[in-house]
Amino acid sequence: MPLIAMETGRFHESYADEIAIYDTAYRKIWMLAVLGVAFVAVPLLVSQYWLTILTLVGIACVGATGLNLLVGFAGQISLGNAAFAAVGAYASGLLLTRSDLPFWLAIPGGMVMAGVFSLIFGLASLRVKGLYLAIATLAAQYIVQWILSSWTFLTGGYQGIVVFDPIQIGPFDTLTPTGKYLLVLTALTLVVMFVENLVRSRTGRAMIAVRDQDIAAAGSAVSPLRYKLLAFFISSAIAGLSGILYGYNAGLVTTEVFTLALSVQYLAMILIGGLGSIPGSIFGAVFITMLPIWLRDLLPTIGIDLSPSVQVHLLTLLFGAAILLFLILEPRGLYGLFRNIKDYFRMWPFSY
Amino acid sequence: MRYRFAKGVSVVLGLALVATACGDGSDDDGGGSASGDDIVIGVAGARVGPIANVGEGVGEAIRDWFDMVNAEGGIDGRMVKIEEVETKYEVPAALEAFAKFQQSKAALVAVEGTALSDALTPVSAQAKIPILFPGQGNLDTVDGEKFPYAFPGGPLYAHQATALVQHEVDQRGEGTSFGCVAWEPPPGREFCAGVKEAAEALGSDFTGEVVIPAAAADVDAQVSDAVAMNPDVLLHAAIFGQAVLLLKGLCQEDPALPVGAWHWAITQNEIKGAGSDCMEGKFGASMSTLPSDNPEAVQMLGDYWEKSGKDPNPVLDNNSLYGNGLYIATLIEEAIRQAIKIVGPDGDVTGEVMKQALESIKDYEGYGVSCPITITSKDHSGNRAVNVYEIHDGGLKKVDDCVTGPPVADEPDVS
Repeated sequence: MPLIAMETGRFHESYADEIAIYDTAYRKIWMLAVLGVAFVAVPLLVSQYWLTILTLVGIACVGATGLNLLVGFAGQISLGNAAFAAVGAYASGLLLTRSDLPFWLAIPGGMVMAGVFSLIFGLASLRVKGLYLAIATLAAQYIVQWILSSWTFLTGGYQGIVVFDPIQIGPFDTLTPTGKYLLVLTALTLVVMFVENLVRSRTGRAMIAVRDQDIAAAGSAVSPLRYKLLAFFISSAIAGLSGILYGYNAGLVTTEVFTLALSVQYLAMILIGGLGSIPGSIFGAVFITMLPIWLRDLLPTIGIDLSPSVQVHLLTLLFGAAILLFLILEPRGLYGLFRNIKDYFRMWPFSY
Repeated sequence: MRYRFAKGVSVVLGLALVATACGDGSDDDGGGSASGDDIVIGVAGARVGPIANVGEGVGEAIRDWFDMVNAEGGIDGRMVKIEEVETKYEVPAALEAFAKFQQSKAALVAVEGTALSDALTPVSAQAKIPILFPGQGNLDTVDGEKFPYAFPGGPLYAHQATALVQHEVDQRGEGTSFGCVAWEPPPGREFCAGVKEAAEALGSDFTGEVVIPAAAADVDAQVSDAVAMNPDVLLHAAIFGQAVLLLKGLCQEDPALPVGAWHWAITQNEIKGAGSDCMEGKFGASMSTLPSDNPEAVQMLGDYWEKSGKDPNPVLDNNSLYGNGLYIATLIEEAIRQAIKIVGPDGDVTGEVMKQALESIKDYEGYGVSCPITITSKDHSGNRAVNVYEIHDGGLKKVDDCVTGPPVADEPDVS
């Protein structure tokens, strides 16, 4: 019978034990409790304002998790996450409005389009080692922005607005903050489950092998190109999903939303949260999304009333400082910090 | 060292989480003040980022105006609380700001920036809280039946463009040719589309459009292309640093070329940046009467500052976009006045009441700041008129009053 307690060490007796998501039943119960709170208690107890905030955090978590798969697990850098989010959002929105597809086809349709679009740049740049993918995705960012404002027959051009009709199934309605929150939370849960399982699989281990030593991986019959492309496809499809969720949250998408700054922000999320860890993506997304709100709402409570422009510049400074501090002091990011703190308490009073 | 750092950060994060979890938990359906309470107006500000000049001018004017209104007893006895949240002209921040305004029971939200007004249009309809964004926004939003809670309330970019073309054709005669330089994002492109349409409608030539990428650090190529188009008049929709670079370049390459601008680029910023010699004779549109013309609203503020012993706000003199802020502030004041008429002095001024109030505004001139504004349930444009200013001796001089151009073909039919 498994112990309902925290583990005191990791003593795997079989391969299945080693790759299990939950080391102990305790951890499984924790996870179910978190999901229960997120899906049931939060919508019932939290104000509409906080549901809106949590929805924005959730969308950022989806985008950051997708990017972390590429950067953290496959070792490739993308500067075009916002571009792929745009492709997903516009493709899905156009499938909804012009082709009258139901949402359950338009959402995966948009994700696949984002993934396929990314392969154009991936195929051109992933054959070689180095920073070529970063450069190619930077190009993707500009090309997508140009397409969105210039291909008027498709996107409506610079005046184009692609409307996302709400999803309404019985009492579930994405016009309401609760509906939006639940849609985003469901998507985030599915993405986390998918990525968590993917990285435990043969495919995930192959991606990690390519990241750590691609020559050795190739020598072990793992094709670096194939796995880099696969990681890029999945990562871009998840970025597309974040764009679609943005569309449902705002009710529409326009050409001005998916900028290079957003791509950089996603990179900051995973750097601060922790590369190569799914909780790290979530911690980073929460941190980057919430920091401006904390600065704005908390500082006045301790008597510091900064003008909005000072607040925003301070924020930019803090983002930069946070990235530098984490790189120097804790390269595993917020998740690394969390693990340290957890280990400290687990070992207490014999912590070292 | 690592553990100490870890503990420090965790304590800060923990405290932050606890504090943010202590929201008031109130249910925030719909906007609006409770009976007799202060009326809350949200301002989705943009004092930082690509339209910082707009954010400063508009934000400061709204604050100053309602400081004065409140100090003088409010509107029919009701105080107005301005709640400004900085967005950096970023959409997620604007969505968060709107949710915050909803929690504060705001009756109306003033928005700065087309990207933000576009993003908040469906959200405002869901929350039944009107958004007001004079002088910016998407042309489609003039349709009050399609976008019931979106209120441009002033000349959109295409209207500014057609009015400027009309003014120039009036001055120079039919057959004047026009070229246009657009800032790449939608507002800039909409402006140049308006120039093209109006030129064609008025029997003039349109020689072409040159686009400045949103993040361009230099505009030399655009300057050369614009001069090569060889128009009689060049109109542009560049902003701030790019506008200064464009104007400097044009002054070097073709100093005699008449150059006009949309209302974001006829400010002290351009005069200071490009130099008053270069800017001599350049012209531009303004949806408001500029503070330098001392309209009644500016006189009222001056009297208030003198009486109360407060220092005049330097932004009034340093940033002509303060005039646009006064346009918005006076329009909000009038909407609140109409709303109080609808619900009575102690009534609940909700977002729905404010929508009704805005749609009842007729021929309102905002204490001399705006051209007559009329809003109906079908037509949310407010007006399609601009004043035209020319720069002489480093100052702005009004040369045409409330000009409107030919109708814009892409505009929804709201007649």
